[in-house]
Amino acid sequence: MTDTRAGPGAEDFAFVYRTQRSRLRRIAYLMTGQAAVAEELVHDAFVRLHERWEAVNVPAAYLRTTLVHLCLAWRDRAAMGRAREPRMDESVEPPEIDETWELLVMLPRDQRVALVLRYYEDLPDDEIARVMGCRPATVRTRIHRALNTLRKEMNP
Amino acid sequence: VSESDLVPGPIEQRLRRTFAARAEDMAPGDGAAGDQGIQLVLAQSADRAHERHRDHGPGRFQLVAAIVVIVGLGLAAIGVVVANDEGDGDETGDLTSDGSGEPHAPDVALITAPRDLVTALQDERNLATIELIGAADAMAPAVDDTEEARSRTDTAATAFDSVVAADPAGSAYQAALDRLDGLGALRGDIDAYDGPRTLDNVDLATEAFNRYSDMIGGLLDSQGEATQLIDDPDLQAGARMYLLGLRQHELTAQLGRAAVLNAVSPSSPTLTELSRLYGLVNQGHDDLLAQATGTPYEAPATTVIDQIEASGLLDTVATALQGTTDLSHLLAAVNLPEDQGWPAFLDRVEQLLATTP
Repeated sequence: MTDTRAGPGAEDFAFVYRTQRSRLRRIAYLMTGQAAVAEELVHDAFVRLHERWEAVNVPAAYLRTTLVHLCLAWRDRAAMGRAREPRMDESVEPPEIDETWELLVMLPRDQRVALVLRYYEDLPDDEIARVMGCRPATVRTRIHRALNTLRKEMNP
Repeated sequence: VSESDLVPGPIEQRLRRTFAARAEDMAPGDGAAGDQGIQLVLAQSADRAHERHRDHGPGRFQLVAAIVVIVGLGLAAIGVVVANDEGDGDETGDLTSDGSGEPHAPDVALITAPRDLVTALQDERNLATIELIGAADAMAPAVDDTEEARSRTDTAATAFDSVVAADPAGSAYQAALDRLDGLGALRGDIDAYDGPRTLDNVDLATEAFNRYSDMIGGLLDSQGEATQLIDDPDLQAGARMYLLGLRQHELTAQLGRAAVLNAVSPSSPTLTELSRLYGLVNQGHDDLLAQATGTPYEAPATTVIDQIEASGLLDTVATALQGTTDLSHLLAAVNLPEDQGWPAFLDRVEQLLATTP
């Protein structure tokens, strides 16, 4: 596929796929907790990018925002059908990591997504707000509540 | 939000370690990597395009391009100068509405209420500002009589007031209502001007643009506040789409106006402003498409972006940023048929909101 955008930032679809896929898979995994679901959602995000290639101006930003909303929507579906409730994959991590990981599952989806965007992606609040489609104040509230929950539940 | 959230502490450090460790579970080589994955994406994209073709008939995009017609100088957006871009309003504002401390979820009517007032203010702004530069005859604004334009705004404001007053969450619009209090003074200043009405008067016209735009920006900011009060995720998704649509409509209008201004009176500031608005509009398109993902608003969002792309507005502005403006193309591009563009998108979102359980 040939990119029709002009300028030094021009990329073609294959290049975007190769450079963005790994990062997106990790983000999706952290947001959903399931590797297979993460693969599916990342694939879906790339399909949507390909469909809108001519209209999308910044593919990397579009992919991240699309993926976040796919993750939120997937968690919505999971919440409606209890059989699809997120389940963490088996891991062999230090106890601290496993405990934190398990507690993250219990958080509301929007809080968990906000935590991933801040503490994994290192995005500023206004950028998280733009990606999630809410106000920066809402982002801070979600993170505040998530951290409070974790503080109460975590072993020191 | 406490200070402890802003200063990295043990919890935050644990989160970073956990995310970093678990992210490594997704090894780069797993899954459909490289060319195989790309081929899968292309195949599914083709399948979905085939499905859409079957469902909606051939050539929607081509048809859209074909029926975008030049309608002369009916540039409804001509009078716009940006005062607010994508402000989030008062980020620390109290979202409760009646002093009880409990937030109230607004009715959908409160989300859609600002539209008529925003449109009326845009029309009044456009007429006032092009009259200040003596271009009303050439520009053929949507409303060509000052008294009528103001009457429409007043009627829309009255209707808006009644919706806001009837909803316990209406206090989300208080900041916008406060800004609207300045409308009378603005009209008075415009009426008081008795100097020549030529392009040399562009500074005064720009000041008027900004004051009208500030009121419109206030309405959009307050609408964002009201949107956040909605508990139901489906309704909130729709309300967010509505807000993004109104913002994009306003930004696109500002972009069209900035492009014309840059064409007739090019300068470093006009080019800078054009570039800034071009970036905001493009970013807004990406945001709209991405946030519509997986919602009932995905198809309307795709349609409106296709229509804007087909209009040639963004291509014309991109060319203008390189130093060449085709004014006739530009004027044609900002005049989509009534059943297309942002008004049509907002109509569709309103329909979907009305049917959301």
